[in-house]
Order: sequence, then structure tokens, then C-alpha cells
Amino acid sequence: MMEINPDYFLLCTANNERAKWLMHRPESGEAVSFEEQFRQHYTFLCMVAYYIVEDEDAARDVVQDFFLYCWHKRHIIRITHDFKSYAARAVKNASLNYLRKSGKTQLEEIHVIEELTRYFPLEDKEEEEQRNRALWAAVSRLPEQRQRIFLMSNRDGLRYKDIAAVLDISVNTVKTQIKLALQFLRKECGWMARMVSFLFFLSRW
Amino acid sequence: MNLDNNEHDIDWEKLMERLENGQLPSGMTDAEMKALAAAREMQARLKAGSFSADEGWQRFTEAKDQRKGRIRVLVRTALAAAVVMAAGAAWWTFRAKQPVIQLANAQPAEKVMLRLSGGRTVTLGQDTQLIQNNPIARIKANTDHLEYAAGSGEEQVTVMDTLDVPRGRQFSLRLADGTQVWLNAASRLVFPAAFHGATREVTVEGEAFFEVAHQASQPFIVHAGKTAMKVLGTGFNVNAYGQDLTTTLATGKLLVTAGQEQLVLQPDEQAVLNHHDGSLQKKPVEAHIYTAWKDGDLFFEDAPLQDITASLARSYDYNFIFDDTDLKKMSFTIDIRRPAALQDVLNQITKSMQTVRFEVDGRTVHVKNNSKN
Repeated sequence: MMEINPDYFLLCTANNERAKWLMHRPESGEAVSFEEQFRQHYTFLCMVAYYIVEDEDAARDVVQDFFLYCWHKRHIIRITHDFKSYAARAVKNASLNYLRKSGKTQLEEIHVIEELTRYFPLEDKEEEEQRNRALWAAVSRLPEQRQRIFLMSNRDGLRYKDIAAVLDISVNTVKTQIKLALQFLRKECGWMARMVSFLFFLSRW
Repeated sequence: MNLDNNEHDIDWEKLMERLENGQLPSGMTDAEMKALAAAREMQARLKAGSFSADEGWQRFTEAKDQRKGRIRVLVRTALAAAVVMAAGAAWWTFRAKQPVIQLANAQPAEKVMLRLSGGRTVTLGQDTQLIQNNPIARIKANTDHLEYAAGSGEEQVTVMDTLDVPRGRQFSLRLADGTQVWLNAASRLVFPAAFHGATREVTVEGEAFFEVAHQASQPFIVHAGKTAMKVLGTGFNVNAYGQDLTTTLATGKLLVTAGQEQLVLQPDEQAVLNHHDGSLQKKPVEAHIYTAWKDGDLFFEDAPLQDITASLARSYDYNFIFDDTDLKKMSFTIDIRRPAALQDVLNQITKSMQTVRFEVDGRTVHVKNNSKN
């Protein structure tokens, strides 16, 4: 299962069912309960896992396993630094392991994905938030029909032909709309065009 | 910075194929690699909204407490109780020599009815019969199943057939396109005898499970209350008994719309249409709990007695009156094959909840508190 780096610290006040499992916020040192910590980071961690496994349920499972591991090892684990970046690393590793074990993804592709995860999510919280805001702002500026098709594909995970069937339009129309949406978003969201170069990596395999 | 200076280096067709299929096309250029990384990151960011912390926490606490294991124990106890119960019930009837202890084992009062588009009404459930054989459709029925087969005609059917399943009964049917529908008690399905239009559309009241025959060129649409469900190859349950309409997806994919709102359901997800504000919400569920009825199972998980009796009332055509209203909230878990007589279900409940007593009077069951009266 999950590998946990031992130089982290969590504090548990008691081990009965209702006990608050306390941790401290890195900025203020303020104590937060296990539940607060879970709720604060769950969505973010699922997003991190989804980026790798590209499957909603698998992402939820990976993140839940991570928290279960933390829960069961709450007397042993020590987190002295930032829980969020530690959790993101653990979830990334677990997600990559999931891909390797599932056998559905080719090894070369896992290498590519592993390479990609060096750049996502961002370490800088401000920048991370800013990217989300910029993305949604740009999506909201798409023409109505294009926005709908784009979200059905990229957010809801419907296939092009299913979108075409639902909206009663041709598959090619769907593809064109999505392509135009992607091109628009690339222009509107500076971060999409500022991606690091993969030239070096590509030349290696 | 010129943001799109490498736009021409990108083969968008290839990229979009990659995004849809998850396959990695060989020979990606650096520009394509960047576009792919950006698109992947964008998809993950857009997806974040699907991961609600509330649902995550609920799921987590259940897994943490190993709630599943606990329930299995409960169910096993319930099953063991059933065995003991047979003896128990016999003892109870025997002991209570005082006159008239009624048992809840009456047959439902009404029959299943099929109203054909021509105006003829046929009573179903008795025996095997050929109901209609004309160019529109050939219709056959046996005691609990109805079957439509398209005839040679190709004209669009505009007047609908109606199948009414009363309280106390269940019925299944196969539509002309091969779609299977299970109708629960007190439910109605309105449908055409044959599907020749651009879409296949039916309307349901009450509760039904659909196993839709896939036909990409002719979308299947289910109307229920204020919602419409567009099917993308799917098995799902619609429950419109209460004020809030729920749709639970077992397999495939389903688009649910209500007014301006729409949702896409994945397996083991449920859409709930709130009758107050018309909002449509999605939550994760175990679909088999909601579809157990069509396989002849009674399944309740930590359900209030009030909900259980409401369901039993429909399934067995009985009415329940709570003489002690405090009992309504008492929760109970049950997972058994659906017995032929309501009495067997009541026995199970009283066996595991000593405080509850049922008194049968005709088609009415009084729910009483043993410790109070």
C-alpha cells in the first residue's frame, strides 16, 4: 500500500471513536481536527489523483486509502511540515502505483505521466488558485453552445459520439466545437501556453 | 510573449483522439506534448467540482468504521431470526387462543390492466394470452410478463398504450425495441406499441427499472414528473413515488434533465429532483439497494420504520397506521427474498424489535408499541 515518509508529525489526543485527531496548521500553528483536515484537502487531492488515473472512482479510492492509512497509523505518523504537500506527494505515488497495477496503461505512457506530475499540482498555493480562477473565467467566456459541449466532454467525461447523440448534432460538429474551445482556452489562460518544454524528456525515449 | 507561436505544430485531430481514448499516439512533438499536458491539467481542474468533501467524508467514515461488516452481521441475524420466527409465529398464534388474530396474508385487491391505443382494456396476470396481432405490433402476455414485437407496419404510433400495475403487484414488459421494463406496485407506464419516430419516448409514474436496448440512431427518453432522462445504453431505476423524484443508475450512462438543469449520472450515482426548489442533485449510492425490488428482494438499510411500511403498503396492498408515532423513526435493516405474504415480513420485524407489535384488521395494519399499550 502507501509509503509514508516517517519525518512527519500528527498528534492524536485520544484513540477513542470521537477523539479529535489534531494537527497543526503550518502557518498559524492552530490545531485542526482530522475531519477538518480531510474536508480541507479532499477535493484537491482527488484532483491530483484524477490527473494521473483519469478515472473518478479510482481517484476517490486512492485518496480514501491514503486517509485510511493516515487514520490507522495516526499514532505513528509524524508530520512536521505542511500536510498538503506531503499528502499530494503520497497521493501522486499511490496513483502511479494504481496505474502500474491496473495494467491498462502502457509503461511508456506511465513514464510520460510521471514526468508530467513534476509540474502538477503547483507548489505555490497562490499560483494554484490563480490557475483555477483563470480557467473558469475563460470557460465562462465561451459561446453558450461551445461551453456546453466542452463541459460535457471535459468535465462530465462524455464521449464525442454520445454528446452528438444527446444534442442531436453531428460528431464532427462536436469535435470542431471542442477543438475551438481548447484553442480559445490556450490563448486565454496564460499558463497553458507557458508549459515547460518536454524536448529534453522526449529525446530520451 | 507570443502565446500561440506553436499553434501550427499541433495536430489537433491526434491530440483530441488522445484526449478521448487515453491512448498515446507515438511521435509527439514538443508543442503537442505541451498542449497535451495543458489539456490534461485543465481536465483535472474542471473535474475538481465532482469531488465533494461532504460525500468523501461520509464515504470515509463508513469505510473507517467498517460499516459494511456490521451490516452483514445484522442481516445474518435477521436471517437467523427468520428461521426462529417460523416457530415463533406458530407459537404466537397458538398461544393467543383469544379470538380473531388476523394474519396479513390477503391477496391484493386489484388486477394489472393494459389499456390499448384502440380503447380496449385487457386484464393481465391470469394466464397466457395473445392480446393483439396486427401490423402495428404483436402483443403476448403471461402471468407476470408482457411482450411487444413490432409488426410489419412502419407508420409512427401516436396513440399510446398504458400499463397499470396496482398496489400489491409487480409486472415486467418487453417493448417493441427490445427494451425491458420492470414496473413496481402502484405504477404506470405509457408507451407506443412500436417505435418508428426519431426518438423512443415513454412516460413512467411510480417506480420502474429500465434495461434499455441500445440504438444510437433513436435515443431513448424516459419522462417522469418534471424530469426527462436521455439514455446512453443503460440500466437504471426511476422512483417517482414520493415528492422528490430519484433516478439511480446501475449500468451505462444517463443524462437527466429537469427544466434548465441537467446532470450526467455514472453507475452507482443517484439524481434527486427536489420538489421545493426544482433543483437537481447528484449523490453516490449503492445502486443495488434501489434495484433490489426488481429481482424479488426486500432490501432496507438502516431505514426508518415509516419508510419500510410505506413500501410494504404498496408491495402488499395494505395500509399502515402508527398508533404510536414514536415508532415511525425507529430504524431497521432487512435483506430477504420478498415473501408471498406480508405476515412473514411483519414477523421478522417484531422478532428483531421487541417493542413493536402489529395488529391486523382487514387490510389495515396497526403499528403498536408493546411497552405502551
